[in-house]
Amino acid sequence: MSLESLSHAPRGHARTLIHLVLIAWAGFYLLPLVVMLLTSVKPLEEIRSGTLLSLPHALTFEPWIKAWSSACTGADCRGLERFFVNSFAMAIPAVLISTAIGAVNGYALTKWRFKGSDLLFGLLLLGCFIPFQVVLLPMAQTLGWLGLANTIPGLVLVHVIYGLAFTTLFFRNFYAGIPDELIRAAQLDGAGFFTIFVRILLPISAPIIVVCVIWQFTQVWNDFLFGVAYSGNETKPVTVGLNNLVNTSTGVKEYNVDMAAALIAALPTLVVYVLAGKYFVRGLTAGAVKG
Amino acid sequence: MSALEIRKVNKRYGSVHVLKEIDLSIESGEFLILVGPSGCGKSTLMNAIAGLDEISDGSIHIGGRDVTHVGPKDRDIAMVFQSYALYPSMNVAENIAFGLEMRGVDKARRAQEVARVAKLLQIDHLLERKPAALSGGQRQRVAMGRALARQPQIYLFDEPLSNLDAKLRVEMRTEIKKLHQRLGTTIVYVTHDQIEAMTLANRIAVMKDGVLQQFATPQQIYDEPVNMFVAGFMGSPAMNFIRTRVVRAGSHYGVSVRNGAGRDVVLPLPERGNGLSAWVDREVVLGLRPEQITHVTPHRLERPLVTELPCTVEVAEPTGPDTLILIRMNDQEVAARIEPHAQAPVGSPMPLAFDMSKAVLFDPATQQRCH
Repeated sequence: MSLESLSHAPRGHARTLIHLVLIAWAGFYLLPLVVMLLTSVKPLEEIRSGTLLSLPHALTFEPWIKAWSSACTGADCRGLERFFVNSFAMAIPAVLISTAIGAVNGYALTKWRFKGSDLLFGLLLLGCFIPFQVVLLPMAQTLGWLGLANTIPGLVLVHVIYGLAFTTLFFRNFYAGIPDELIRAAQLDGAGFFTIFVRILLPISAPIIVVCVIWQFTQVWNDFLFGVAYSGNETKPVTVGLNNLVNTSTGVKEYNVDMAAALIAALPTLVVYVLAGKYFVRGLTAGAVKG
Repeated sequence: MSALEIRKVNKRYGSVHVLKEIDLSIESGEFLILVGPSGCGKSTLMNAIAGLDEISDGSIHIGGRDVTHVGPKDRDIAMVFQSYALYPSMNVAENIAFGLEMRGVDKARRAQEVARVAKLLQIDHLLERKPAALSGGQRQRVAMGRALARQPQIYLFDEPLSNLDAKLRVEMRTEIKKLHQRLGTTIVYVTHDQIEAMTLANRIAVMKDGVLQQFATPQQIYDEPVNMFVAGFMGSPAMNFIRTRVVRAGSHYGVSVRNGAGRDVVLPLPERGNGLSAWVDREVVLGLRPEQITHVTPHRLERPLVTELPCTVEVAEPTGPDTLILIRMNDQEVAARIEPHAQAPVGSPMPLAFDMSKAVLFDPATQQRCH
């Protein structure tokens, strides 16, 4: 439905006013991003002259290149690239594994109820509310025992465990809206637990998978605490790398490189939101599948 | 050998006893309907037959084989669900073939079977469609097709028509009946609709509160209900229940009624060889169906056990083919079914013929039939 067709939609001046207010607010919220972008393409001398909002006189992409490949953290001048790669190496398996397990959990908790399944789900839900700090020490101990301390697989494990509560919640609620008769029909047709899951439920789970992947990717990518606590020198994720790069105290403070690095670190989550954001809302509001 | 035999089946959910000592059996090719109000246990019984619910005790036999502890897929049954339960991601052909695929039937045979079933149900042109693109009636057919493809020993239908609109429901009812006659399949069918039960069944099992009330042919259920529940549940409009007294009239028995005008009359009871002497002067409930109280025609009065009584029309409800009028007897409302042209205006007197040949009596204390 178009805005015009709503009989009570504001007209004329009122509408213009609303648009102006909305644009002003949007601008206000976008301002930090604009400042970051502008700063990241200015030479350092221009920044020192103190004009934060002015357009660059001499456009340069040097800070981006430097941030990516040669910015220094202490004496190590290899840029953000390796942290960026680490983050992907951590986020992709963590997202896929936690989503897959969450899907099976949600399926079992709704369609194959057993004694105590509601209690189990309640406990899992509790997992959503456990603050990161609480698990920090026990998890460090566990990773040590498993021989996964300071490794990317260790980080993957932490994120899978922490993400499971959320992914299970997503899938459980989605599958709860799917009629049980569908499962019973498949059972009578001779399908077993995993056949029903793969052939009947997975093909209609796209909306909730998208929700889960976006949520998990954002969580894992943006995480700092686990990253800083459990990573080794060569396995730091990009959030930690960025922090170290910006906080490095040797040499000149290169604001343009810092800004470029921050933008690089934020880019993947932005891209995910832009590409799949509409599915996110659609998936969250998706009800039972008819038919 | 019976196609389906249910022996002393009980089902308890914790302290709730939902099926109590259910005992019934049907022959191959029979159409059994489980009917009763919601919560009577009929769907639970169906799920027990399907193997989707474990029973607490008793046993279930299909085709002479004890399947009490056999999983649903190995019971040689197929089920049509109330919501149709078509797989949303598969098209019609895949939906029909899924059960065969799961049983390892090869692709060529599957295609053959899909074609056969599609032709039978006239859904050939829909095979490529997804369930979401089908109407209610078409989904219903596909759901039936999915069951038919497997050619099981028993078909289970769980309220298959309740999601359809009234007109389509009647059409599909006829089609299910035709299909049954043509294929000679054994069907167990759950419904809460007593008209569906009467029209489709060879035998009806009426259930209430987890207890099998009566298990008989539709006509027996209608004419010879074992208790007031069955009598009241089957038949629309429902049977009249009139509180009255048994009296002796010469060598026969009758019940005394007082019409709206305050006149006492004795309506004769049919002889059924079960001596009513013990009930004389005791209160009973007379069960008389509306169609047994009609307008007076000369030839009708010649029949035995038909009595003419002056009554007063209090309310008239025309249905088209006939009109339902309410009269007052023993200070209770009683429905009578008459031809529309014979109706006297509301509020005016009208003589009615009471045909007592199919009258039944119930014990008001136990609600069981006593005559």
